[in-house]
Amino acid sequence: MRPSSFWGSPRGRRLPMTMSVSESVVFGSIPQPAYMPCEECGASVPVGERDEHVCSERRRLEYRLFQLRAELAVFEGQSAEYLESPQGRFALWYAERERRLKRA
Amino acid sequence: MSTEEEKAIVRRVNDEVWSRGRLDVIDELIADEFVATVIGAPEQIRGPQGFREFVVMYRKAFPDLRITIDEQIAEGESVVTRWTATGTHEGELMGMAATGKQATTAGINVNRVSGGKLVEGWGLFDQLGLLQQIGAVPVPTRV
Repeated sequence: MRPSSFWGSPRGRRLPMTMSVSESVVFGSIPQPAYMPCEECGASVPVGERDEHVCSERRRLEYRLFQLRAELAVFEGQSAEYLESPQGRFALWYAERERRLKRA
Repeated sequence: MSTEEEKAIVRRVNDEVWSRGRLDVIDELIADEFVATVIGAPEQIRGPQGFREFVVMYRKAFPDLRITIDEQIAEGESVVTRWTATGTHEGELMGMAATGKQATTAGINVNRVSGGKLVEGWGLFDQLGLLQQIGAVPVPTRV
């Protein structure tokens, strides 16, 4: 019986089969993080579980507010400035009066 | 000191200092002669003050930082700790402005414990993964 042909024909030796040159899954690729933050809510999610991830609404809002913190700071500054102005003081006084009238 | 007591000291550093920001216990747990090497860091960490600065840097960047100990192995005076850390990037880190993104990284420390304190340390953690998660380093796309 002829021997197995893993090493090629018995008459001549062939080199053993080499691995294909396709990228090794474990060592050939550039490191990828095991976790990545969700783009919607910023929560750290295992990369393999991204499809199942459901954002917490609270977290999503907090994340969005965090992204807008610079604009919010500007708005708060402008709002405080307006309320200190004559028009702003009048608007405050008027709103308070309307509120009392509605309660009465 | 038993290996269990040594592990407990390292656990206290992780639970109280890193995860709860108890900087007041650093002098109790870190020896004056403490020296630590963190792979990738430009300088060694020296003494309680050096350790304090290192902790503050990361806790300012991640105020809700929490470290979970996954495994500990101890022999003689050495304690090996494998850990996972999670925190929200709410402060500047290495020049990178806060992103609000939550990041998770893992690492290993080897500490030598003597006289009830940490006297030496060697550690490494997935810094690349951390930087990728906060967007400081791009994540290559798999082809």
